[in-house]
Amino acid sequence: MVREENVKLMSRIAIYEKRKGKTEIPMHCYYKADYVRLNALKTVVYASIAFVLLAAIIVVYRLDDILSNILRYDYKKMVAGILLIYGIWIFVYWLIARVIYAKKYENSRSDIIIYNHNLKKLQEEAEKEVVKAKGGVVIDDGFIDF
Amino acid sequence: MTALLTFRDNVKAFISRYDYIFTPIGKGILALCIFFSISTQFGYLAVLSKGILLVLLALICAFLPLEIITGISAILIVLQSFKVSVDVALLSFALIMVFYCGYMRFIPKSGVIALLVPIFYVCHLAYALPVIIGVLVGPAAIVPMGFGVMLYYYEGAVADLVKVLAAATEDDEAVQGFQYVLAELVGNKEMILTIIVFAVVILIAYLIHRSSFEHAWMVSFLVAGVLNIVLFLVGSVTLTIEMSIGAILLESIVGVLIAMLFQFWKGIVDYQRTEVLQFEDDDYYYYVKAIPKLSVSESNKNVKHINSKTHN
Repeated sequence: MVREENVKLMSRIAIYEKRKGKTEIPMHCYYKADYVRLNALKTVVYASIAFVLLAAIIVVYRLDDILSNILRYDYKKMVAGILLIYGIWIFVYWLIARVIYAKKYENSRSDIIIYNHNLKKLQEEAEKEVVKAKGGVVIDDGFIDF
Repeated sequence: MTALLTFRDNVKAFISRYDYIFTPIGKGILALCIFFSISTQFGYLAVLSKGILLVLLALICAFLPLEIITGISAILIVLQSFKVSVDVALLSFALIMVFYCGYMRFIPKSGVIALLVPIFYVCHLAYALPVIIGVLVGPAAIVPMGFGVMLYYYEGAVADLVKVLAAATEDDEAVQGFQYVLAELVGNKEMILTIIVFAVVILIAYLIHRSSFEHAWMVSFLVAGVLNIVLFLVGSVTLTIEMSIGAILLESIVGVLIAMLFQFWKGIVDYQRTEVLQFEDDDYYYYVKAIPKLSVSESNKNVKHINSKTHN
């Protein structure tokens, strides 16, 4: 027999899993702090790649200048300057990533609570069905069946 | 007005009812426009510029997430650049990767905005863009918009390089494609001015649009349009860049009109019925301003006539 309430619950669960759930369910496998840290770390890696690529583009663009002055550079100062710029670059990205991913996690919290509630309700309904199938009597909360 | 609102609500209801048809069609058309724009601007490899291939790719994109369009477009640009020279292809790849690693990872859909900019340039609507995007997307669109403008001028620089390479004889000094394109980009004052003006207009339009004073939406469109015109005029005079004043004026006005149309589509409000409320709880005082949306509730009733027949 088709139970309308169960069908509604399953539809809601399936719609969530198909849309927002794709990103939000894996997100909530982590604690908030772990999720934010992991993604901030990933962002640092990507920001480093972007930095290296940008630096490479600048170096190749100014290759003639660099080659003609190669012996005149103060390498200590240059390396310190590059490291300082890299540090600022990474810090900015790390900060932005922390804010964005913390907000993402918080925004998805209400959806995942409703999803878990629906899942629990569905599970309870399924357990009731099993009890009924075995010939038992289902006693709901706050209701005594004589 | 009532007729217009009814028409809007009916169209919205129709689209949402057949969402499963309109979404893929919309995505497919968007993908097709982007791919054709790339093949027009970068059409160096004949194989990748064939209409049938682009239609096929757009058809695939219609049923896939929006980010796939950006991915395929990036591959097309890099492959087309290979025909010009390997170093230009590497430069294209590096620039796209910088955009992806530096920004697109956070907002994957932003890639589409970047790819739309050259299309607006081709349609002679580039100066309308900041007004529309500022209101529709907000500051998140500044970076992709900047990258899109750069992409458009990059296409121009590569086209210039192709002409230079074609005109060069064996006795001429070898032209470094990579450096030539970069030098054109770095020295392009028009591109830099466009990116700065677009960023400022987007930011101002967004800030005014979010304000709570009466008619803030309409004011944001008008201010953005005027600011766009003024900044471009001042910039072009200061930096001595030749820009078409007529195009700036006309396209900015079109931008304001399109933004108004989008706002009408999203929903307009009735300021005359504004409610100002004040209440408090244990921790806060709340000052709430509630403005009702203008809409027409279409009576969608099925009237069933029951005629009782009297039999004599």
